[in-house]
Amino acid sequence: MNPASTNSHPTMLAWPFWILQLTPVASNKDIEKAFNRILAEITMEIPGAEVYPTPKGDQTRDEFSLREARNLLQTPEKRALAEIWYIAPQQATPEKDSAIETPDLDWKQLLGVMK
Amino acid sequence: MSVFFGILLIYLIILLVKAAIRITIRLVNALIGNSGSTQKPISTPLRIFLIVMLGFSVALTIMSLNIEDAGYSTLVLIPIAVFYFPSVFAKFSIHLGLVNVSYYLGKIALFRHHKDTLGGAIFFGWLASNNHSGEAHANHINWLEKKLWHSREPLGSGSIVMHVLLKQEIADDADIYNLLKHLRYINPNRLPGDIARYASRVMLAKDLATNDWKVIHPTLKQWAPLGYNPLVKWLSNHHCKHIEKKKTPYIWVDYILAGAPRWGTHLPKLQQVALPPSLKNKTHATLNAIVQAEWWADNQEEFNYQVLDRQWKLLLDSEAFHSTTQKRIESLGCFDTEGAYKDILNSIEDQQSIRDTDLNFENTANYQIREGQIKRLQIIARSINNRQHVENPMAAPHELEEWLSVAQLLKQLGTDEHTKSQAYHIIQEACWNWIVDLYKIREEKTLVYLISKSLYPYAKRYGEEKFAQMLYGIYQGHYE
Repeated sequence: MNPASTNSHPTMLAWPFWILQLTPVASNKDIEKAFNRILAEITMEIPGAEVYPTPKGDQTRDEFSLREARNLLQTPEKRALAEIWYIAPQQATPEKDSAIETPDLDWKQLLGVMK
Repeated sequence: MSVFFGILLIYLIILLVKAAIRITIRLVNALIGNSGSTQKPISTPLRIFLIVMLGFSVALTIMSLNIEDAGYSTLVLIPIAVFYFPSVFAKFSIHLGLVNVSYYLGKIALFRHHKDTLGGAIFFGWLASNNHSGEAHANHINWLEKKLWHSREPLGSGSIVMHVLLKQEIADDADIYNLLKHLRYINPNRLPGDIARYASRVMLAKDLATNDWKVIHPTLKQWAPLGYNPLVKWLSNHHCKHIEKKKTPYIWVDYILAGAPRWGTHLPKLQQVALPPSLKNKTHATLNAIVQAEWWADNQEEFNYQVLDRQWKLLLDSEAFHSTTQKRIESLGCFDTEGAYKDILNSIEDQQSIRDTDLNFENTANYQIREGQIKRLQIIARSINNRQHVENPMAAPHELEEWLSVAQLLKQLGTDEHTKSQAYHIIQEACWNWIVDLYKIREEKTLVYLISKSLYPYAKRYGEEKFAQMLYGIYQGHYE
């Protein structure tokens, strides 16, 4: 299932890149290669092949969604839109600023507060 | 024996010196024409306590002169020692979990709890009850609650805080925190220091876990004027030093007085800002940074999307974005380049309107909640009105409960100006009569102080000058 079908937010328009695990610099050749590789992995039932990361967390993919993603990335107008909204999945959960990192302390105990 | 009486003599001398200083200050004030608006009247329990102590001390001093003949035994001296130093004995009883003993020791610990003996007694009893668990603990809490609810004394600030803290058994931390927040305008002259210090720690435990000065600072501002509180003072100075960048040369003194906590190194040194990390320190953010910020903002409970809308506008208005995107569209081989560019602009507009619609959906839900809250406020106002001048008034803690509900609803309904004004005007008349009734007939002056000081900003804001004047007069002590 593609994530865009469950969420109408334009931020999800980049899903074809996430499902094929590509970035906007990918050429048509890269798209074909990624499609064939992932499809083969799913067919051979390689563990973890059906799972891919997105900014919303891990999602599952199948042959149908892979084909749809490939077609969208090969349609220039759709790809332009996907490129605009693309961020790497890990960019959605930025690292914490070290100066304001929340220390894992039991403040109740430290301040002598009872429960 | 003679050592014991020596200590008593020193104690008596200290009392006399303190009294002499107090009298001198009053005399000087009277001489220089300062009628002493800062004067604090000595509370009745303290006055009785001082007289009894003085009498006791004089009698013991006289007797100590003939100590050998009197033949006192240690057994006789123990009750005297307990009477003189109840707080010291209370430390042992609290440690041993003796709730009743701790309660009564708290009651006679007048030097410590003269501002509110009932609150102080319940505090000691409650500390002792925490050494028990399960049914025993619940029974002790019930006993303490009965003491509070059946007391004939008017509620003091300490009792009010303890009423909230006793709820810890049934309410969660967030509820206790919110209730304590409504006690911001409590009368500090009726609040024993140890209760204030403990309550401030309850709130700070939650605040410090956020590691955010925006959350911690209001709590410090709430408790700083409510008596001596070294922890709050030190944290306030820490904020001054690291956030306000002011000079705090004696912060180390406050640190020591606060007990030199080791966790001091974990305090935040920066104020967290409500900005997505990708947009920090950027006047003109990149497309990637804005998209990242959209994802970040989607996970926030509260976020002002104007920041993001501004960044989108700056980006879309820039020539660089327009030309780069157009070039990319062309290089991808789009047939209708203008149409493709328009699709991109439409998707950005969609994103903005979809999240606005999400907010509107939230507002629709909020509207229904708000209607419910308004109705609740109307019911409370009617209930307050209906029970004026009844023969059997409700217990003071019940009145306090009612006020806490009103305060909570006023806060919840304060989201927009219209609703805030509507909420205030629902309760204004009922509160006016209620305050007069509580103040004149019930003599619940500390509770009235809290209600008046909390309502005063509303009355001023909505131009209710007469009501505001009355509220101001009450909490300034102009009416007797």
